[in-house]
Amino acid sequence: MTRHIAQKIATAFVTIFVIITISFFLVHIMPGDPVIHLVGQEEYYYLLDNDPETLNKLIARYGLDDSLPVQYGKYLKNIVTMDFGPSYTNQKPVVSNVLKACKWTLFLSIPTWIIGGLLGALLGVIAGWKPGKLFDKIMTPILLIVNTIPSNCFCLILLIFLAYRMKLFPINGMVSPGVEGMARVQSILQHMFLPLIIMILYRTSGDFMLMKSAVSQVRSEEYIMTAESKGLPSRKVLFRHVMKNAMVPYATSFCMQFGGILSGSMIIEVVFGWKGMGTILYNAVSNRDFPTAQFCFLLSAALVVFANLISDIVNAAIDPRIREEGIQDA
Amino acid sequence: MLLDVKNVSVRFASGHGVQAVENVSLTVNKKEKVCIVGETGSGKSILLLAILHLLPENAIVTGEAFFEGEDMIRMKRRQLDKIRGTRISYVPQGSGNGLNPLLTVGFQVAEPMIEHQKIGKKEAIAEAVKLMKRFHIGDEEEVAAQYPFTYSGGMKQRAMIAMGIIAGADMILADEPTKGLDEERIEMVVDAFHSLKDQAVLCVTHDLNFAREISDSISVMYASNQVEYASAKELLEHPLHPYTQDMIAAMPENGLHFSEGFAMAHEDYAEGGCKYAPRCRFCKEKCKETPPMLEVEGHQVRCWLYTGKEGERHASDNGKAL
Repeated sequence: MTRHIAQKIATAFVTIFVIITISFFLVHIMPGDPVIHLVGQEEYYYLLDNDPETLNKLIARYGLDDSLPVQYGKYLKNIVTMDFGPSYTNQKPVVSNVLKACKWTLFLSIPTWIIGGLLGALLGVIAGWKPGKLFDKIMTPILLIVNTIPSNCFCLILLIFLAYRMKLFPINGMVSPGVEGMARVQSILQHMFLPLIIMILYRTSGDFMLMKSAVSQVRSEEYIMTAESKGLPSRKVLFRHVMKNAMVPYATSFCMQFGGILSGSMIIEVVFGWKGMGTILYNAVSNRDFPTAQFCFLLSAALVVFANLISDIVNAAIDPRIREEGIQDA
Repeated sequence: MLLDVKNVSVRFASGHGVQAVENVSLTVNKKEKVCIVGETGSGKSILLLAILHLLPENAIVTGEAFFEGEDMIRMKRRQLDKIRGTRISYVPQGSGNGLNPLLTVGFQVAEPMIEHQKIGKKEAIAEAVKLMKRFHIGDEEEVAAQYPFTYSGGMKQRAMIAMGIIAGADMILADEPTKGLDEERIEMVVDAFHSLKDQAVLCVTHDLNFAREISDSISVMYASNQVEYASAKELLEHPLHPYTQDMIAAMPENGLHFSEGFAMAHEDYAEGGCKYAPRCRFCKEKCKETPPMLEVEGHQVRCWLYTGKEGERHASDNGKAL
């Protein structure tokens, strides 16, 4: 068990290093000169023709004149010291920029992860335990429809009816300007309501499908018949025998979703003007803001790797086959 | 009489509707060992599950299965929970997936005892270890704490027999206990069954030698029908039904004489008629009608050969003339 986990941790570090390296080169092979975004297009061409000296100083200031290996070395040093320098677009430190955006994303993604995950699992267990019964017949089509509508389309439908026509919610943004104290909290809650509901619905429907299929598959296994034959009441068959086995795929998915809490909702953030990680990454990529993009990639990649590690540990805790042999055939 | 199965039929409602078991009757007395033999798909395992009320909801079960006077087929879940595992128990196939992969074998063997006798987990597992010792699983204390994936098929089978009797059941229904095991392991399973002196056993198997070893009576099933039912010695030495005769002739020690053809898929059978007729050496016009279950020379046999004057002659020859 300990050896198994140590192995996984070592693999995680190697993975992060590979991701760091790839994200560095990925950003640098994107076409377009970042200096254009630093000074603006017109000024760039003006300087290029009339004052190349200033332009070169600027390039030198951001270290863009170094050779690629040197830039890579500096980049690694920056990661170790957690100093990514200023953003190319607003000159503020990248780390504080991104962490601020993280906070707003987490407002949406943590409740989604927990509420959606638990609700989906609960409904999925009920539907999977008695497939074909009324509950299953009602919930499955509803959640299937939710799951198949593209999220941007669903956002717009709710925006049109609930925000634009009925004026129940603000159309976009995160908080009304100029409010303080409790009024500010209330304003944030109002603003986050629609995107949050949509994200929870999607997560619930996805987890519902997963849990339902896991439970109904385990339910038809021979060992469930054995459990019934021992005279165990349904409740014990469900909790002791069915749920434990159905938890294996669900726990994996739940942990992996944790890895996505910083990067999972770009479309919804952009539609609702939510200035979170999705939006900041979107802007960083369109503006060739290397440091910001790299830090965003690094953060979300590290989280995914971490989630992967947690899911391995949780799986090993549930399933003795993984724990003792490192085989995974469940 | 411990178990009295009367005219049990099972039909699956899905698709065209498949008749899996048709009008099977048999009885098991206290401490008696009965085997149901037949080829794969003949409905023998389904019959076992029907008696235990373990079939999925799309199975329509008719007939009666009295266990100590109570009909299990019409029993409610609450009542079933009171007798399953403690008075009548099920022993799944050792080579199959009959044990929960995420729980220790010791706990699973002890589970019926924990449930029915309200005994603490530790003591029940200690009892399970004791019982597993009786079946010589080897290093019982250690293996009881292990998970099913570390067990061989033979070990699992013997652990599951222990699971069947731990809560004091006096009737065990076992499903193909020798399937997928090599000779040596089959020997161990035979020993385990021999040591069940106080329990009655109804065992489904396709292994005639195993049936010969352990059973007092044998019931033969072919394509969802029971075709012959007699004491083990009688049936193996003087088989009456042509299918039973062909089956015995096909055993390796008798020279592997197979009868031509296969049992057809359930939906291919015409309404009525003997289901073995297409493969039977003695098939005649009469066989288009469904044969009744006849009492012949202490056998129950479903065959037109044993009706009328000629039938009496066949019967008194004890099937040898066929």
